[in-house]
Order: sequence, then C-alpha cells, then structure tokens
Amino acid sequence: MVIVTFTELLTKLKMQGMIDHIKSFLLILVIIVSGSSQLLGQEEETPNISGIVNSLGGDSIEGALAEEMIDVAYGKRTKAGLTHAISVISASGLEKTPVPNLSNAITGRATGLTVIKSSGDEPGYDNSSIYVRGIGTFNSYRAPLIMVDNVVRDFTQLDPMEIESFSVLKDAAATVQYGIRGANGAINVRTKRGFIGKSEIIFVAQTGIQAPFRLPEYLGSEDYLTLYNKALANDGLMIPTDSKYDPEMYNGSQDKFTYPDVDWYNEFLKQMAPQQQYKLSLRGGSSVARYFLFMGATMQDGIYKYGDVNTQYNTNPKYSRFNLRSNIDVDVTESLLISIDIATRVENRHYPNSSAGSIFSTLSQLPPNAMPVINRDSSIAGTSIYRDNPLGMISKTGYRDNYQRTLLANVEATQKLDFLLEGLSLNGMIAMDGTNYYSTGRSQDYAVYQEFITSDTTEYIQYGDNSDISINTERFDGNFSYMFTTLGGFSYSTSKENSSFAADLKYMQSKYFLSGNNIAYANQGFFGRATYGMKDTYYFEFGFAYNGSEDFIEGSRFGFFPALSAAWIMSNEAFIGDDSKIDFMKMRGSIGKTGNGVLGVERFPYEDKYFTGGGYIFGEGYGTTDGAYEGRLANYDIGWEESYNINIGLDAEYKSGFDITIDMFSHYRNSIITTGENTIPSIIGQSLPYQNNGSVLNTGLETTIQYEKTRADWRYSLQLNVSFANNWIMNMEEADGLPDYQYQEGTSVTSMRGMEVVGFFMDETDIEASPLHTFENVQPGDVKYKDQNGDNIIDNQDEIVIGNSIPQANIGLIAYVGYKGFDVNLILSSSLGRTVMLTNNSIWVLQNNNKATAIAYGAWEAGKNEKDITYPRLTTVSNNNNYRNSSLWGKRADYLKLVNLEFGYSISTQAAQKMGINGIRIFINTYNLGSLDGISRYNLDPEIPDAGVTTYPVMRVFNTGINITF
Amino acid sequence: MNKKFLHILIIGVALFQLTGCEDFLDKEVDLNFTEDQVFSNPRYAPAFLYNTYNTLLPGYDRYDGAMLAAGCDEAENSYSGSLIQLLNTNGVSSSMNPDDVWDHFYAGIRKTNIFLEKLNTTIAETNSISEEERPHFRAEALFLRALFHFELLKRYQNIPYADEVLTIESAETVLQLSFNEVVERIITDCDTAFVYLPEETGEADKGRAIKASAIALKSRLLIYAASPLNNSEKDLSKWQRAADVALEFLEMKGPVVSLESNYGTVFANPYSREVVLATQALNTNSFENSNYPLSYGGSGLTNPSQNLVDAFDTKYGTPITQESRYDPNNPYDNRDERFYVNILHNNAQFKGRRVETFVGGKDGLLSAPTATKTGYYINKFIDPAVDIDKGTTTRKPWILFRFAEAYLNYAEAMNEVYGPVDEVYETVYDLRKRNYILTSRAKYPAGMTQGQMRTRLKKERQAEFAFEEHRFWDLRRWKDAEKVLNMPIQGMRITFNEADTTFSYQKFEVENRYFDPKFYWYPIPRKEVLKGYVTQNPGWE
Repeated sequence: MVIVTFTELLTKLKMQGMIDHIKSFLLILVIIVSGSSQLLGQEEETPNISGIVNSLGGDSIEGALAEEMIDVAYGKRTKAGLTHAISVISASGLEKTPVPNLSNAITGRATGLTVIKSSGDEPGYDNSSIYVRGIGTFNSYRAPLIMVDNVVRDFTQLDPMEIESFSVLKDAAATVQYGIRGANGAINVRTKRGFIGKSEIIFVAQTGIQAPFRLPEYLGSEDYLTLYNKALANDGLMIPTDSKYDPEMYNGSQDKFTYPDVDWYNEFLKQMAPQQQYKLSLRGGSSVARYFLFMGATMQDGIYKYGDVNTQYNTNPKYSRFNLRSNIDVDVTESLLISIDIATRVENRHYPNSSAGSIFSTLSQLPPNAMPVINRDSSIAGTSIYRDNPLGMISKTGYRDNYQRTLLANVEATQKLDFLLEGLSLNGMIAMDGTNYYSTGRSQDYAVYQEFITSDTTEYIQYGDNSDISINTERFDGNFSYMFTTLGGFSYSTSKENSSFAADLKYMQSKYFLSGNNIAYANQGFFGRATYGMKDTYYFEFGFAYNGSEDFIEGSRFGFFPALSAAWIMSNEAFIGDDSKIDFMKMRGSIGKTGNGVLGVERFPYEDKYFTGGGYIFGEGYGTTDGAYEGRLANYDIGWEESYNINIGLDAEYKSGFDITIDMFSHYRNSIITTGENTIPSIIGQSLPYQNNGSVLNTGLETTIQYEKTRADWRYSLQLNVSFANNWIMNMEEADGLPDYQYQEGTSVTSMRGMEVVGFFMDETDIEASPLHTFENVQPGDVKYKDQNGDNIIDNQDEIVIGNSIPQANIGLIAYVGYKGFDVNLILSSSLGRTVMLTNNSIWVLQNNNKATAIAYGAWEAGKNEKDITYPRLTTVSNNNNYRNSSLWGKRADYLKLVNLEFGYSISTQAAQKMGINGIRIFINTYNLGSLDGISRYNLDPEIPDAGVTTYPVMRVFNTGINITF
Repeated sequence: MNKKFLHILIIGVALFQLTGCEDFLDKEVDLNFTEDQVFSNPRYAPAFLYNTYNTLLPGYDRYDGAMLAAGCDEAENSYSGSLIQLLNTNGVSSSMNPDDVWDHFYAGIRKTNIFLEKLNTTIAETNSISEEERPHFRAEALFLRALFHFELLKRYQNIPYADEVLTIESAETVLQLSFNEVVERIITDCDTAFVYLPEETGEADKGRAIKASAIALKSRLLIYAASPLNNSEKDLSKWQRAADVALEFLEMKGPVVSLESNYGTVFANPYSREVVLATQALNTNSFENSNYPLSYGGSGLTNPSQNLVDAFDTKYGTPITQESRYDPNNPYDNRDERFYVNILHNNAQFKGRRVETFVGGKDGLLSAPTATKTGYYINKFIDPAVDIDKGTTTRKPWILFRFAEAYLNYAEAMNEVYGPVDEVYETVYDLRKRNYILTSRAKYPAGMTQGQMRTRLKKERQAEFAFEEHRFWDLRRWKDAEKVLNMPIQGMRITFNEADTTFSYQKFEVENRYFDPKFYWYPIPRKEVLKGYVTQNPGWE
C-alpha cells in the first residue's frame, strides 16, 4: 500500500503543480500512519516487548529512551525531548562498506540525504556530492555545512572506526545554531571518546579487490569500419580506396600490424586491483582519564596495465592513507574536564603524469583499427590524427605524487560553575587545523610512430619527441592552509519534578587562511538555545544565532537567525493508554530562519573594484603595456540568502517493534543572488551588480520505518529510508514577455533543458514539410525537433525542460539478519526522478574520430523502417543539430543499487577468551555489487555515465577481513 | 534560577562587546584597487585606455576558428559543426547569433566613457596624465568610442549612442537612434579625435590610433551611409560627402601611411606602412593551426570559394571571362599577383612542396572531415615559417583599416557622383599597378559606362580585400546580398591524370546558400529587446 502510494506520488511530482504535491504529502502521511497501524494490528501474537528487551540484557525501553542522547549542533539533547529534525546514521554500519571515501558509504543510510557520485573511483579521487534535503537555492553553493567535533572539517577521509555518531541536521531548529551557515543543512560528525571501564582493543584487517563496475563495449575493427564507411557516405565524403578502409581485411586473416583490431580497454586495464585496510583502536579509561586511540592504514591500487614497464619508475595509481587519532579526556579537578584531541592524516596519491581523464578519453576514443599498440619494430604506435597512445601515457610521461598532510587539534575545557549556580558550566575550545598540500613529480615526453609500407621500404613517421625522464624531481603547487577556531560559552541545565530547563550561550569565531595571495575566510558570532520541558511531555525550544561572515560590508555583516520548535509526547497523555499498541508517540514542529552566507559568486560583491592587467601590445618591441579595468558594479547592500523553514514531524514507536519517523518540510529561500541581466539594459557595458532578488521553495517528505526483532537465535532488523524533495524557482528576475515554457521560474533549480525530439527526417520532402531546423543544414536521417513556439523555426528558443539532474526521491533499505554467530547485512539504495544526458563518445559515436558502440546499429539508413530507427544518421563530423541536449540523449537514471552486502561470522570461543580475545568476527563484504537501471543497456553507470569513458570507472569491491576484539 | 542565568547571559554579551571583535571579519589584505587608485596613478591611468584597445576584435577566429569570410561568398568553412554555418543557412536568430557583439562593444564604450570622465576629474586633479598628453589621450578615447559604435551600427542599424558612463537608472533613458543619427554622432567624435590625434606615433607606440585612423573610419562610415542599403533615396550628396572624405583620406599619403610597393608585404609585416589601424600583434600560431592544409598539420578550415577565385584578374589585368589567354585547363597560371597571395591552390608550392588538393591527394578534396570542401586553402595571413609540430609562433595583427581602402572608397564614390571620370580611372590604376609587371596592364579599359565601372570596382574590392571582412559588409551595403548570397558556393574538383601527370578541372557546387533580406541587419539580441528599451530590426521580431 505504501509502495503504491509512493509510485503515485512520483507521477504526481512529475505531472502536477505544487498544490497537488503538498496534497499528496498529506495523503501519504495519513496512509502511512493508518496503514502502518493496521499492519501493526496484525502482529497480535508477538511476544511481549519486555521479553525481548530483557533478552537483550537491556533496561526497559522507556528508560533507554529517556537516556538516549542525540548529537545536536554544539551539544546533546535527549532523544525523547528532541524537537529537531535529525536523521542519524549508525557509525558501526559505515564500517561495513569497503570504500576509503566515506561520502561513498553514506548512500541510502539516512533520510534527507542525497548522494550522487561526481567522479569515478580513481584511488584517492572519489568524492561524491552530498545535499541535504535536495537543493534549496540556485546559487552554485548548495553543499551542507560539515562539522566534525564542532569544527568545519572534512569527514570523507575519516576512518569509520573513528566515528561515534553521524547525524544529518535538516530543519531550522537543528541548524539555527550555525546561523548564516545553516541554510543548506548540516552534517554533524563526532569522533569516539574513551569510557570508564576495561580497555577495549579492536584490530581489523581487511583486503579486497576492486573491479570496474561497467565499461562501455566498443565494436571491433570489422564492424566499426562497416559503420564508418556508411558515415562517410552520409557525409558526402569519399571512402578512400586504401585497403585499410575495407572491413573484410580485419577478419583476422591479415597482418595485425597493418590491419589492427585492438580492444584498447582490455589491452590497458587489469581485471582487478587490490586494496587493503588495517586498523587498531584502543579505548578505555578511568574516572580520572579516558582515552580513544586509533591508527589506521588504507591502501588502494589503480587498474592500469603497463604501470611497471618503465624500468625507471612505476606509474600504477596508488592511494595510501594513514589516520592517527588520540582523543583524551582528563578530569583535572572534580569540576574541570579537559579534552585534548589530536588527529593527523597522511594522504599520498601516486599516478602517471597523464591524468585518468585523459587516459580514459584516449581509451574510449581510439578506434580498434587506428593502429596497433606497438609497431612491428616495437616502437609506440600513433598516427597523424591519434597522437596519444595509452602505452605512452601510462609508462612514458613520468609520474606525479600528491601529498596531503593534515593535522587537526582541539583542546576543550569545561568548568562546572555549580558554586555560582547549580547546573551551570563554562566551556571553551580552541581548534587549530592545518593542511599542507603539495605534489612532486618527474616528467617525460614520448613520440609515436606511424608505419608506412611501400613496395620495398618500411618507413616510420615520428610524431612528437622522445625525451628522457626529467633529471630532478620537481615540486609543484604547494599550498598550506590552516583554520583557527575559537568556541566557548555557558551551558546550563536543571530539572525539577515536573520540568526541565537547559540553555547554552556561546561565542564562536573561525578564520580559514590559505597560502598565496588570498584573503582569509572568517565567521564570527553568538549562538544559543534554551529548551524547556514540562512533565516529560511538552518541550519547547528557542534557538538563535547572531553571526556573520567577512563577505559583507562593515556594519551589515551580522544577521539574526531565530528558530522556535516544540515537541509533544502524545504517548504520555492519558488518552493513549498503557494498553495501546503504541509505545511512544511524539509530534514535533519547528519554524525558523537560517542563512547561507556563501554567495557562490566572486567575493566581496559590495566593493567597487578595479583590477590591473589586460594590457595591450604596442610598438616594434611588442611589449605588453600595463592594463587596468573596472570590475563588476558593486551593491553595497548585498546580503546573504535567508531560508524560512517549517518542519512538522512525527515519531512513533510501536510495541510490536516498529519505529516510524515522518517529517514534512517546506523551506523558502529568498535573497538568492540575481544579476538583473535579464531586466537591465546591457548597454551599461559592465557586469551588473549582484542583487538579493531570487527565491526558491523547497518542499519534501521524509520517512523512516524501522523494525527490529529477536526470536530465539534469530535477529532481524530492517530500516527503510524514503526521502522526497522538490523545489521550484519562485523568482529569478527573468525577462517579461517570454513564452511560459521558457521561464525558469516555476521549474526546478536543477531542471535540464533541451530540445524535444519528435523523430528523424526520413527524406527531403519530410525536411521541406517541417519547420526550418537552423542548427545545421539538415539531411535525411537527422533529428527532427518539436517547434514549441510555433514560429516554424527550430532554434534554441524551442528548448523545454526535459529532466532534472537531481533525483526527487532517494530510498534506502538497510537490512540485517543474524542467526547465532552468523549475520547478513545489506543496503539497497534507489534514486528516482533523475535524468542524465548521455553525451560521451560511447553514445555520440564515430564523429570527431571516435569509435562506435552497438548503439550505432539503430542509426537511420535510407529505406530503413521508421520504427526501427533509434539513432540519427551516422556521421564522421560533428553535427549541431543531432548532437545537442535533447530528449533523445536525456535518459532517466533511476536505479536500484545493491550498495553493500556483508556476510559475517562471529566466533566467541572459550579458548580465545583465555588468550584475552573477547570476540572474533570474520566477514566478506561488497560494494556496488549490482544495479537495476535503464542505463545498463549502454554499459554506463547511472550515477555518472562518463565513468570509464572520460573519467576513471566506478568500481565494484569484494572485500574480506577479520575483526578481533581484545 | 533563571534570573541568575540571565545575569550571566548579560555578562557574556557585554564581554563580547568589550573585546571589540567586529574587526575580526576585516580583510588583512586588499587584492584589488579602487577607481581613484587607478586614475590617480601615472602608471595605471593610461593603462586603463590601453586596456580599452582589447575591445578591438581580430577576424582570424570569429567562432570555432572560422573567419567571417566563410559567412559570405568568399569561402566555406570545412568544419561543418562551426557556428559560422548558421550565417549561410538563415540559422541566425535573435537568441542565437554567433557574431553578436552587442554586449562586447557596449562594454568597450563604457571604458572610453569612464576614461573621458576621469580625464576631466581624477586624472586632471592628480596630473596622472600630463596636461600636454591629455588632449591626445582624449582624442584616442573619442576615436575608440566612435569605432565601437560603428561596429555596432553596421550590424544593428538603429542603436543607442552611449556618450556617458551609464548607471542602472540612466541606461533606461538612453534613446535608440536612427542609423543616420548615429552616423552624425560618430562623425562628431571622429572629427574631434582627428584634430587632437597625432600625425604619427613613436616606435614604442606603433599600433595606437593616429589622425589617419580617424579619417579612415569616417571614410568607411560615409561610404556605408551613402550605399544603397542606407541611401534608398539615392541622395547623391551622401556620395559627394563620401568622396570628399575619401579624398581627405587619400591625401594622408606620406611617410606615415602609403601603399606598400608589393601587395604581399602588407600582410607579412606587422607594422606595414599601409596599415592604418590593426589589432595588437599577438604572438600566436592558432591561425596556422586552423588553416594550414591537413598534410602540413593544420585543420584546413577556411576554404576559398571558386566564386572568389574567379574574381581575380589575369596577369594581363583583365577579368578571366574577358581574357583569351586565360586557360581553363591551367586556371592558376597567369593570374593577378593578388591571387597567389590570397589563395593556396592545387600544386602551389608551400613549405617546400606542392599542395595536393586534387581528389585523393594528401590535402585532397573531401578526403577527411576538415579537408578542403572547395579545392582551395587560404594563403593570405598565413606565415609559412610556422611549424605546427614545434609550436612556433608568429606576430599576427588583424588589419582593421589599410590605406588601399582610400583608393577604392574614392573611386567608388566618384563613380557614383560623376560616373567613370578620369579620377576614377587614375585612382584605381594607382592602387592596381603594384600587381602587374607591366604597369600599363593595371589600367581599366577606357570607355566604361558607370554601371560597368561599378561592377568592376566591386570586383576590385572583392579581390583586393579578400578575407579582410570587407565583402561581408560590402554585399550588404550594396544590397547585393539577396542575389549573391542566395547563390551556391562553387568549388573545383581536380583530378590527377597519372598517365600524363596533368590535372583536369571541373567546377562543382559545394553547397547551397540562403540569405533572407532581413539579414541585411543583425537581430538585436532578444534578451535586450525583451527589456523594452530597443526596437527589434524588421523581420526579427
């Protein structure tokens, strides 16, 4: 029932306006609540809850709930009394995904999180893009704020074993403490700390292999040439009489040097590459001091062949990372707690001097018959057109090493001030983070040779020059950055019989310095919050921030950002009796304002700017003069984006084991930067000042359904995360008088525009009977577009919305089954409503010296039946009519991926215990095992179709390891 | 309890105020200048004007390596995906015009206006440009302002004339003027500039505007204004005015500007005395990269048309159609000197070997995606010393005005007012004679009618200024475009006869071309029309 409604909702999202959209949210809310309680109603014969709890060795569930704390911005709140919309990712779950980059491990694990792979899985360069609650602005800065231990830090290169908690802060109540930095949502990570008790030592060793998930499949020489010759004919070009253009010469009977048929991918990519991780953590402490120590090493290799053929150096990509952390808490006095956290990270990236992008672009371009890999005389082959040879790129261009060293340190002191006021404490933290980045390398050039055979001579024409490897190792682009953060203030909490009160007031400043001629980025301000709870049933919170950034004019740098939130624990009311199936039920609501001070444009837009440079050459000596020019016009009043957020939520826990959380939100962002370029005459002659005139409405719904159960030796748990987010541009300062479909206002920020394809031109009469296509002199077989504005001319004014580059729905399913010592974990992730534009050369075949995939067989040919045509006429040259963004190339990229699957077995033998081993767990896990999607037919990845074509491929990982706890 | 907490809160806030942390957000360094810093500085005040020269556009690479020549009947661009093809297929629209320069030139105009304003204020107050230099700088800025407006005028017809620094408020009040009103405004600026511009520049300032630049601009402006497109009433006084100014231009002849004795030298020397104004002499090989024939490592993009090839006279000074000694089986023998400078034809010597545009040749017709589509490659502007593989470069200014124009402007205007009088014959002869070994061959045959002379002069202009962005505009001002640009582009299919190592020649149609009369004027960009301050040109609404 729920699923049916989801699909209905999806159709609605696409088809209808906003009002329907909100209606369907309400509908779904009702259905989930009623549907789930019906569902729960059938669970009569389940054993009573306390039995389970007792079997788990826990306290009563009420007690557990009351004590369970949730990390909120700069603090903790009880889960029961929490008024914010926060989704939490289990930190231990992250360990099950065998990827070095954590941004790839969080997919599907929490609601309100959109994760899209933005590159392939090149070792060390595999970050995904992350958004919280979709997109709320058309400003280019859409990323959430990432906080690790209350400091702005990267989390992607942390080891999951370092992490205590990982939460996604979604509504205004949750992010208002960040004020001007809170509008894009936030991710709040806390690292582990020690505890009072016997030391716990955990050692993990794991090793695995990575293999390309999908690679495009190009045709061999014979098939390729057959198509190529058709394309030449279509272009009116002559098919050369040279036998190299005769497909039949490539049937395998001929000399492979003259008539090559090279599978370039197979030739240069290994089937798999190894990776390893080793980790050791120590955790424990006493009432005086507690510690968490961690050491980890991660190694990942690349998949190039021939990385080692050059005797002077190896170029196979290699990423290695070493994480070291020491989090220490010391009770200096009974009332003074000092925490000292130091973490360092060493990241080394090694790769050939040719980038992965250029190597894959070459692999995906080189036709099978272009040349052999090496010539008859063992020289590296090339031609006048194809002057790159992957063999040269991998083994003869030198190498690069990138080094990144990060030191994160923070010292925090908390002094209880009970002598002043019971429950009051003063807290201060100083954090200093430094990152040094530099690279070294050596370079080399290689020549390629083309063989020309005449009746009596064999001649080699050389392209490019050979050079020896550079004598010295050079150092490039050094960059040192550091951030200095100071944070401190008062916290107070007290509780009486029927009420509780907690409040914080803090000051924060941080400055981020970059080396070179850069101006530091700075943030500063106050924030605080007061939470009042009544009878453990009613909770109210007021939170605020008064903060600002360096990007605005003096006097207008600070903004005030308030949020009000409340929670009502209905299950504590008399009308929900103790006999009810409901164990816990809470309604939450929040309303507030947050800001986004990163405007996504050139910094300091309030300044009148002049720049020097842009001189001109005069005179016989051809010297360039000085130059000076005016910059963009200033707007002294420029401000930040403001987001007005409303969130309504429901948390329910059923005695049968179901937990349900539902959140609905509406975020209205205004003061987004616009430029007036569509409304103000451009004869002014200068870039127009930035204005705070734009607005976007972002609404959505998130729900988590959890189920947990233990029966005899069996343990199950299931978590379904479903998130929808959809946005509409409300105001963008667009011109008056456009046809409706040309307005971006009313469409999504990430709308993809392009031409609507109606078919292919079958013949000349078809062309004459159709509107004038102006992109190119069209021929039969070219793409025919719809004339949207009816002016009988096809041009860029006929572009409409043909998709969205961000999914509207993200669904994750986390499942766990345990039986005695065995356990199985899996994560399925699905993304719906996203379109990708397939424009790489595995799709846009043949033209511009590219090769071809089987997609080319769908191409138009004279006399071919119209319904069999799926592809425009083949051409060897570029074509502005056919190869442009259109519904022909925009494909729905909905997918269902098996992100993660793990089998584990835990041994707990008495023998081991005698050796001091508390537990051993062995496991096998995978990443990216499989995907159901519509892009698979092109052998491309649905998240990043360019992977393996113009970037490093997305990888699939099989990994096995052992976890020993002492 | 809460009262006590409140006290502490207040103390906290007070502490923050006391620390005076406001300046925490201030910048430690400034990375840019203020307006005053620039204009009060003797180094940067003039630099602002020098920067303004960057607004001048070279014509080597208008879009995707294409020249404007490929947007009219001079050439075809062999890259079928080039945006230049839109100009030949009625593909230009008000939202898609590869040669839309509206924003570009108004940005340049703003620079001239800022500079002119500052000359009287900051610059004068701080003497960052000395008093004696200021009139000369002012004239330069006025000239550039006039030139930038002319670039807009010839494309968009009725345009706003911006003679002050516009603000968001004042921009709304600037009126769109008619073509003739703009002509007068340009002339006013040109005339003032002419008075204060120097006769010549020093060695170090070569390339800056001089008196001849202003008169050259005025002469071209008036020729355009007198031509049929802008003179439907056939007002002879417009031609008379054009003739007067062209004569003034001719009279500039002297040590600073004059004709080169050899046509080819003009394009080989970055500061030729024939060049009146050019863009800066960039050090580049991108033109060679784009236009060398394929086997020389280039892309061979600009392919001269047979239409253009046929416009070059024979070495006897006669058109090929009227010359019995012209041999269609050896069409590249015995041609006017300018033919060889402009056209790289089959079997021509280039970089020590022969160009092979014959079918099946190394640079052969349609032999590769960007191989020649017409049977020719461009030779003008090419520096054969450039080695593509080694990446060597050459100095490459783009000629905006050269002195030869004075001759053809004068001859054309005089012929329009007085018919083919002696001045017409003599002026054309003076220009042509450098192209012939026997200078007498440079003479036009006596006794031509005014119409015959007009036709001959048009052809003369086509040959003399091939690829120099004259023909594109000349065809429009003559109102010949709807005829000429609706005709197919011709090429030459050359086959090599192995038996007797000769070539056979066969003309063929390369592609159909289309010209809608609305394209006499460019569409004003749609985004500007929607703002309501300008009216769109007819046919583009």
